[in-house]
Amino acid sequence: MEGSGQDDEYWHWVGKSRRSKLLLGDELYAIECEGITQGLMMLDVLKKRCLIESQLRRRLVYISALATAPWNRPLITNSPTYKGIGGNLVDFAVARSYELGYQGRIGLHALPGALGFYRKLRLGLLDCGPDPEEPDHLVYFETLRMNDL
Amino acid sequence: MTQSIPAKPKAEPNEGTRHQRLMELIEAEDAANGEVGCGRDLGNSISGSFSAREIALEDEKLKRCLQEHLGHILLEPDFDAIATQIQRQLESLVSPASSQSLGSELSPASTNVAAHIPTEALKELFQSQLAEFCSEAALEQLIQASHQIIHKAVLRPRHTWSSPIWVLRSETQIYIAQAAGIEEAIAKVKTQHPQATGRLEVITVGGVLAPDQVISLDTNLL
Repeated sequence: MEGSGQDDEYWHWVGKSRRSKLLLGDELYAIECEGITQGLMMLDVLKKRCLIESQLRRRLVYISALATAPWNRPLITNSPTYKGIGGNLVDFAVARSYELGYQGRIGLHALPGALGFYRKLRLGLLDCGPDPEEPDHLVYFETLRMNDL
Repeated sequence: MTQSIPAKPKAEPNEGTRHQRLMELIEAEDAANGEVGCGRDLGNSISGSFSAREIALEDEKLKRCLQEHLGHILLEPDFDAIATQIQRQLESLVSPASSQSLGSELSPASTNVAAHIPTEALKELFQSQLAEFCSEAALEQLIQASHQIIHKAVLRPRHTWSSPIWVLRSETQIYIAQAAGIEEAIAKVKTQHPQATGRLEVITVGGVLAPDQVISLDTNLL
């Protein structure tokens, strides 16, 4: 992916996923097909809390990083091999949140090119605007659950 | 080190539902031309960034220290925010490429901020966990950055922030309401605009991530 100008270029997929030693609460997941990694996602299921006032400090699953393989990305490859990899990973994060008793709440900082994706996911993700405490001022999304008070 | 995602979830939806959801996911991906990335802008050193993630301060120890020294003025949400920022600062020190723009956040002019936690206490906390990963100089930088981060939080504790501002949309109108929660915001809209009887969709919220946050709306929404 070098030189492709993507937000998360230079991902060294398989090597990274196999080498990483994870901290407590960090979970790394991959979608593989025919032995090839198609997408990667890192979750933090312990250390992050909700930021929206009405659900402040409730637990959530925070997606620390998510990306799909370059051959699945239309901006790099005209005919992507697979579609739906990113969406399935996000859906899995929601399922993991339910599994942990967090009522499906997730949080994430979207890369600039992916804003449209997270706005259209139909998961109740609320656009909380650019995060001034985040180094690149990425837009923060968090699942908004009603009647949380 | 990756974990397995079961091929079949426990409560498997039927084929039609799964197909419909897949179509929704693809539609969402197409809306962003296939770009789905989230997380830190990992720049050109993802392996370095992941190495940096292996080096972390124990959240609980840091928050206990914050509680001990600042419990009389700050609350848990402030401690969460401080801990997150100190951890990011640490990552930038051990792997600068993983957060290229981080350095710009800390103004050189504001290096002489009040030490709300004694430098010695921070040094002891950091040294006990990070001495084998960080040089003395790096630890010193982390301490100075922590003083700044803590000072900023002390100036504007979370509980002093105004209520968030909710932007809601009906079929024909956009409503902007200030309220602690979404239910209260909707109630305010319905009370003050009885004609708003249909479904209200929340588009964005401001003032959740920082006080005095400017809300930016795509003009296509107006």
